[in-house]
Amino acid sequence: MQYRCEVYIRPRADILDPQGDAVNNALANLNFQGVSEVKVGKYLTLLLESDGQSAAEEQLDKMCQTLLANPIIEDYEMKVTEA
Amino acid sequence: MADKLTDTSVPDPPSDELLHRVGLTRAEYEDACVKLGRKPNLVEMGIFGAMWSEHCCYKSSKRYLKTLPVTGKRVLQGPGENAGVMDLGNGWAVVFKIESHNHPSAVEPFQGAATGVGGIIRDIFAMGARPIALLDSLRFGNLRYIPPVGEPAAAEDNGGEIVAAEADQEAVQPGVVIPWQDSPAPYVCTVAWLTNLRAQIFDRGPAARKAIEEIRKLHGDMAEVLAYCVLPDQIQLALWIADDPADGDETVAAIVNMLKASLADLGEGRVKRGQPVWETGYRAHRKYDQLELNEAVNRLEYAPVQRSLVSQVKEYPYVSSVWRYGVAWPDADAELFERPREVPHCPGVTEEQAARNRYLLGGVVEGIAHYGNCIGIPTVGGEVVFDPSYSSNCLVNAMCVGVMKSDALLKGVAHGPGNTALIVGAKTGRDGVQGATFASVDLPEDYAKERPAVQVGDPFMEKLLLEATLEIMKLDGLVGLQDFGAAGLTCSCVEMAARAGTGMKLNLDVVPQRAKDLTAYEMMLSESQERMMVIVERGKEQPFLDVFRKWGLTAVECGEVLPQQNLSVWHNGGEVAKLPNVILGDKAPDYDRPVKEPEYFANRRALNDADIHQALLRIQDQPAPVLPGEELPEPLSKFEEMLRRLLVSPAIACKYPVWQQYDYMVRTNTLAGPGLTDAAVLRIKETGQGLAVATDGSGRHVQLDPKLGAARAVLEAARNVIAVGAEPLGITNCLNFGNPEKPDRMWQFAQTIAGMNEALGELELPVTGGNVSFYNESGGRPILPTPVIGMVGLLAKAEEYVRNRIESPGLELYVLGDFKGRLDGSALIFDLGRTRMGDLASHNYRTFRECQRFILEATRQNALAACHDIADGGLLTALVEMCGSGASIDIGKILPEGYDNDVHNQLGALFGEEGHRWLIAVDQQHRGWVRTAALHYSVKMVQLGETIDGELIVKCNNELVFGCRWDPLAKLRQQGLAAALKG
Repeated sequence: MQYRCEVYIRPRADILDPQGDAVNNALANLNFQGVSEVKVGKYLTLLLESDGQSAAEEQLDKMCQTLLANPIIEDYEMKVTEA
Repeated sequence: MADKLTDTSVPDPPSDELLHRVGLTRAEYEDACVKLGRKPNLVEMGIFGAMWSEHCCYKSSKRYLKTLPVTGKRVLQGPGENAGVMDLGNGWAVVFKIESHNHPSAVEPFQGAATGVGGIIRDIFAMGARPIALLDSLRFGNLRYIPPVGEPAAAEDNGGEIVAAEADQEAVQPGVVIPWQDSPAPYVCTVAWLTNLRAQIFDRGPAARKAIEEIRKLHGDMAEVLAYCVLPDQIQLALWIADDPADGDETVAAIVNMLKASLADLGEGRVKRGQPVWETGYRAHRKYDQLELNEAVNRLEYAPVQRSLVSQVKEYPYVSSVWRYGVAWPDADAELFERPREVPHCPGVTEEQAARNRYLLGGVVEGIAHYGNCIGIPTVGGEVVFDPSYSSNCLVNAMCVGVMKSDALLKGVAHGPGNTALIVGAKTGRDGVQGATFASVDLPEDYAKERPAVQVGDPFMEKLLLEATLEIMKLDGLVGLQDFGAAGLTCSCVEMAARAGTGMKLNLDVVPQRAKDLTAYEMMLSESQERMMVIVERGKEQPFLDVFRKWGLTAVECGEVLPQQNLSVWHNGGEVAKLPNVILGDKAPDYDRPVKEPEYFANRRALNDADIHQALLRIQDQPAPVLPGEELPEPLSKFEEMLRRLLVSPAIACKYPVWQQYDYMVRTNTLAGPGLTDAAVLRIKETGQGLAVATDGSGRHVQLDPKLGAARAVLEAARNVIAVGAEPLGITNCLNFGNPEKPDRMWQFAQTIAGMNEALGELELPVTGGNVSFYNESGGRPILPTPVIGMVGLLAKAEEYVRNRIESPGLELYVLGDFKGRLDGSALIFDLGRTRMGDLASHNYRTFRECQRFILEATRQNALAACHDIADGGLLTALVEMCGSGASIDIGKILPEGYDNDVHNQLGALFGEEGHRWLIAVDQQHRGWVRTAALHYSVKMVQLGETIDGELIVKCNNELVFGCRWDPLAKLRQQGLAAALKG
């Protein structure tokens, strides 16, 4: 069975996000009013061949832990649907 | 994420868990209560925990660090400030410091290393200097699987608290168990005779071996040899004569004469031609009972120690061991001369650990490159070293060098009550809350739980802070500034006020905050990066605020200097902490930790032929390294094979895969970056002077002998600086050790300081600062004790520096210094052979200073085509590193003569690392000058050979030892690290 996987990765709460801060400042410089707390993350999609929903989730979680995200400074959320 | 500690009331007595979290022991907590005269609240406990942590107050090392030399005519600022400063003359000064960021890097390598670099850069520009160079001394576990060797000793786990098992002690109890019959009383005697004029005939193995062989032949024939000892100038025996006692004296005379005759031809070269080898006559003493015999045999076997030939009887190969085993030779067929020894434990690296080590190395190097390249400061040098003990406990030591006008020195002081404290730079978050206390406990095996200590660096923010800081230096009204390092706001306030004898009032409500609902506890201990505290005279704040606004930095008035020596912290309108500075700083704990010399050190012994043989067998377990598609020459010489193995080992292979990621040319002051010279050379544009900078540390030598090893680290750094032709100025040190609460680790530390003291005293160099990193151990296994030395040297003219590489054939090669290197502590035996034993030679400082004077003068005369320090991997490795095309050498004059086996002697000459040696290349035009100058400076110099094209040829007294093509060697060295990184 093939699954479509989506992963949202964002900096953990309270961790410094220089990229987000840079975007925040750039928006202010371009006169966009009222912007605050900009955070920049990543969005990944991939197709995964797996035996079942839970097995696919387990595999994806392992990928996130080891490569896709850096769990020490990033949080991630996964969405797995049948393709 | 740490639970928010909003509640500032503390249970009485506080729970163990709470004390652990703030980083205080119960004894320290009680001490704090006594010194304070009341119980501290939670914020205050946090402040105590941070300020009294090993990282901030050096409570285990203070008393040792005080003994280091910190003064000198060039020292403008010694230890105790943000960084040390030394005068360069011409109105300029150099600022430098090295610091560890080991624990954060082990948890999150990229950010850990990046913030380590950021922290040390801030230390430099906080003194008012412009940072011009970074160096990084890195240590990791091996990148590939290796099996462990031997069993760990029980004593190691317990930090040396447990003495040897009782069984072992019994085994070494001296006592002769020679059967004695009273009736009839046997004829037993000791007999000794000397060589002619006490010539040293038996100081070398072959002669002594021959003597023992002859003694053995005698045994059981005319007499029984109860014990023997072959000393360099005499032979001593204890004999039991089988014949009737009446003939005893004649039998003894016959035995002596027989031995004298059979050993008569050993005197060649040792006694004058035509002279007899032996003195006439002998001395014999008859023994009449067991007691007398015991005493005589003990004295006989103790003779080598009595004459200081060795420190323990068992180290001397040419003596019987009745006192240990009760028989003259336990096994007549065994190689008694060299009893096989158990190899000390050397940890292995599992596949899993190797993968993590590769990940750590990759992350750390990326982190350093990211921060250094973004902020625009060149990373010009450092080292990368591998040993299994650094697995899961990597060392990341970052050094920064800056230059400044010597009259513009800034200090981290908070003078003048009423003056304003500004907090400048990034906003405060929960980053690294308790980072300082975190660095002072052993790493837990599950790193992920320690996440709150991770800080994220922002080099672009730091660049703004750097430029702003250098700009406010010119403003009127600047009192002092300091960056926020470990323990953040707390440490900076306390230190600045303590230096000035003042106090500080802080208002946390105005501190710019990145996270919501920060508590006072979190704000005081946050280690958010890129922040500084600036003290400004009251009423002159505005120009400062303007400068910071110009650079886009937040700067707020967060406090004021108090006349009373108190730290007073206000939050939400109330005072949340009030602590006298003195308790936090001067009166912080100062421990005299117990020290104990570990057993392995007491039992140390120089490597002998059997050890080397075993090590070589262990090395040859693995197939010899080949280039892809290359066929090994048949037969492959053992020397070439060992050389190949050394060249591909990641610690020795070319570090190109690491430094290719660093921008080492930015700012265009780097005359020589990584790989071109032994020390990086930077130009000071304003004066035309050059700075030579290098880092060095040698865990394996310090492990074998901390005192000699630490002195060696200082000398090795000096060797690098001298090799480029620069005069060493001073050092900064980063001392990485295991848990100081364990007596053997503490002993290593104490010895290390003693060794550094010795070397610094001899070279007349000061220490201007540095740091100590304890608790570098995981699961009870410490790292190799690793003092890292960062050294700065001065070249009067930057362009005069000497390279360590030559491409052309036809140049003469010389070795300079004490050139007889034994294999003890070498990369070949210790790293590849995994043999963690050996005894180091003491340092010859006089030779060292003579070589220094010679090389510096030769540099000024432009007489050296190249100069390279012979270090890791020994002479052959240095040759491959230095010569671009090939070399032909003769090692006949530099054999160490330390071993009986000729092959081992040659290995010693080719791969030994003992002593302090340089390899120099000289062209035809300058050979006359060099040879004359060598005599003039009375340096030890030996002509080794010359550079040739395409080959490596090694001879020994004109006899070929081995030869091979040059190209594969150079390529193996180029590709070694890159291949290992692939796993």
